[in-house]
Amino acid sequence: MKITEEQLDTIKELFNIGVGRAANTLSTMLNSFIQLEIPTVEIYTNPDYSELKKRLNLDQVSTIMMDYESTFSGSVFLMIPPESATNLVSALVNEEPGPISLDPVRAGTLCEVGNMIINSLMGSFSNVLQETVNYSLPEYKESTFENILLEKSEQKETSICIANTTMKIQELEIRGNLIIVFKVGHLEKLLASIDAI
Amino acid sequence: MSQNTVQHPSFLLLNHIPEGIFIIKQDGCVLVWNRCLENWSGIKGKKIIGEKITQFFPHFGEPPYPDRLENIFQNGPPVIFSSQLHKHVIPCPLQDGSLRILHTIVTSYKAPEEVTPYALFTIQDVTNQTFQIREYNSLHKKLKEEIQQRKEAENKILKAKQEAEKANRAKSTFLSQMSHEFRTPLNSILGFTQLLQRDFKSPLNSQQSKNLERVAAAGKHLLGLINEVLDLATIEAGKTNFTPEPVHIQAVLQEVVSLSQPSTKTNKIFLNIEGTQQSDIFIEADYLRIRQVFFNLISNAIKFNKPQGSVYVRFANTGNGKIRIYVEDTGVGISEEDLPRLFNPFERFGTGSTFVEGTGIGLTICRNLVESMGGQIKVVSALGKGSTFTLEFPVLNNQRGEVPAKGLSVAPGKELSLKEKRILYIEDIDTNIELVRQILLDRPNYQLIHSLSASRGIEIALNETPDLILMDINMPEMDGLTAFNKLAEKPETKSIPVIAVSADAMGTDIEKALNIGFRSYITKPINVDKFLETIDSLLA
Repeated sequence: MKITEEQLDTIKELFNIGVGRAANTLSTMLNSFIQLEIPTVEIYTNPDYSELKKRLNLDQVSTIMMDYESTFSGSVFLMIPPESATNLVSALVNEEPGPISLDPVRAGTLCEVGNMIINSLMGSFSNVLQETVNYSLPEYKESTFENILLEKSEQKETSICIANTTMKIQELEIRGNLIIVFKVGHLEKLLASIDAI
Repeated sequence: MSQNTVQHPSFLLLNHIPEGIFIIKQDGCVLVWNRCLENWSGIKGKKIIGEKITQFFPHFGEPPYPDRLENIFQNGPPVIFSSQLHKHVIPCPLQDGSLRILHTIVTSYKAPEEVTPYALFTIQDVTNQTFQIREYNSLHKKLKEEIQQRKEAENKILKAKQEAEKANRAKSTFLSQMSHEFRTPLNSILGFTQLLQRDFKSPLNSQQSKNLERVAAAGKHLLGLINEVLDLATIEAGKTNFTPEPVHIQAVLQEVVSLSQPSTKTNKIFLNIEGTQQSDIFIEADYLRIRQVFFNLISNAIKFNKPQGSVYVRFANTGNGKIRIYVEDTGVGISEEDLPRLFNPFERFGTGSTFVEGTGIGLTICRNLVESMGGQIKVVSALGKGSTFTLEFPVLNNQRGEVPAKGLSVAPGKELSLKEKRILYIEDIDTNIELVRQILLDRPNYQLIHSLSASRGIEIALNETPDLILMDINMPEMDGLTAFNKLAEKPETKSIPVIAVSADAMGTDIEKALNIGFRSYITKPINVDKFLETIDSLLA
């Protein structure tokens, strides 16, 4: 499937609007300047997850995940290396770093931050494309990059959209990835909605 | 309106859920306030339902709540208020006055008869969970600190152990070097004493002979001490070279018992060997070292025995792949309190007021040697009744070694040559040259020429082509091994037999010299008879 430059530019713009809103909400809530950027966005069909894992340098990941239903249905993930996730939570709550996997309270904090970013991102898609979107409850998971994505990629024709994210908070730079996994044929529906704007 | 709604069967059901649940409408009015929340907050449903939430909880009107709730009413995604970031979404005090820690999820709920959705708050009490986690984290931190402290302590112990081992190696090296230094003057003491005793032309009177015997005995004792200290030092320094070979236990024991018989005569000790029916048992050991161990044990059993006592040497296959060798005596025995220190160096027991010659480190050496060769040594003893030393070694399976003949063969006598022979002695210490000169007075047909340096000695050898060369090893300008190699390169000197005469008495030194071509190796202090025997055999 071929994606035009205009379509890709629109998707990048939607990501930027979404994370911009998330940064504002986080800054207000935490009373601290938070910068969120999306430097690159890439789209793949039938991706080789092993290859992607190496390229993105992601193995074990802390992930916040939500399923959504719309004309372009699928799942959306915020993936952060566990060590960065630990540091992020510690910076947010001003506590000493500790393993998130052993602490549901800390996992809840990370879940809220991921929830805000994902909500803002999907809100951006929903508003601009005038589409109604329904969501599942956010879920926190720690596993390997491949396992998490394969769980939501049952068929080979899956398309995914990967956006690198950089979050700067209190001198701390956290790198992660926002990933949308589309149900089969739903990337095409998203592109059709974009074309219809 | 509100009262009617809460009476709706669907919402009544929420009173049975053990989580706080409330619903607010887009205008901020509370629609549902379940029983669990009533209990937690102390606010009754009939009081709050129908009222604006900000009336009871003003912070709902402050960021970030309005924006995030707006998202819900727009039929947006669920929102989380985590326990760490929002400690007081709905303040719910515990009995002690502290607030519950709550984790809240807000989702959009659209009633069938309504146009706009409601915001449904589901609140979990995570107070206990949080305190458990804090307790766990505190314990985890404490354990980590303890582990760190233990690691640091272990590192300190390891460092101390390494330092102790280093010091022990330094001690052993020092002892080895000192042993060499002791041998050099002892060569003169024992050498000239032997010459005086052999001087038949000017015999000594009876008192002088006795005095000289005392000097010789003291010198020999000192030499024995030096030898054993050197032995222990090399074993402890890990420098002992073992040459494992199949050793026939019965043959070695018989050899040692036979050689020990003369020393039984003084006190009329009965010494006997007893074996099992299966006598062809081999073990893998260094022949000379195992022989040294047996000599030491049997010698002790004789020395520390009572007059007319007995020493029994027995061996038996244990049937589990091992052989046990017993050296049993009927001597003075060792007390129970002394036994644990028996194998410590320089500990001597059971001698009472009687002087028994010995250094006090023989058993230490025995234990080190036995353990180095894969065996074990144990002792049982009763004071006044005697002791039994037990050695245990793995039996060598399916291997038949030749019975070692070392020490059993007697070299055939050779006739002395009367033809004039010239001997070159290369040695940097005058006294040693003088000693050899006087020893050779016994052989009028041997002419001694000497050099105080190796380089000058090589020149003399090339010009004079002597019949035999005696070579010191430790010399300042050029060592004896280098000098030997230079002589071996020259056609004029390469066939001249060379004997090493050195105070370096370690096995490795001797082996090294013999390997490069020295015909023999004589250690200082010189044993005059053996020295003459060696020279005579090479010049015959």
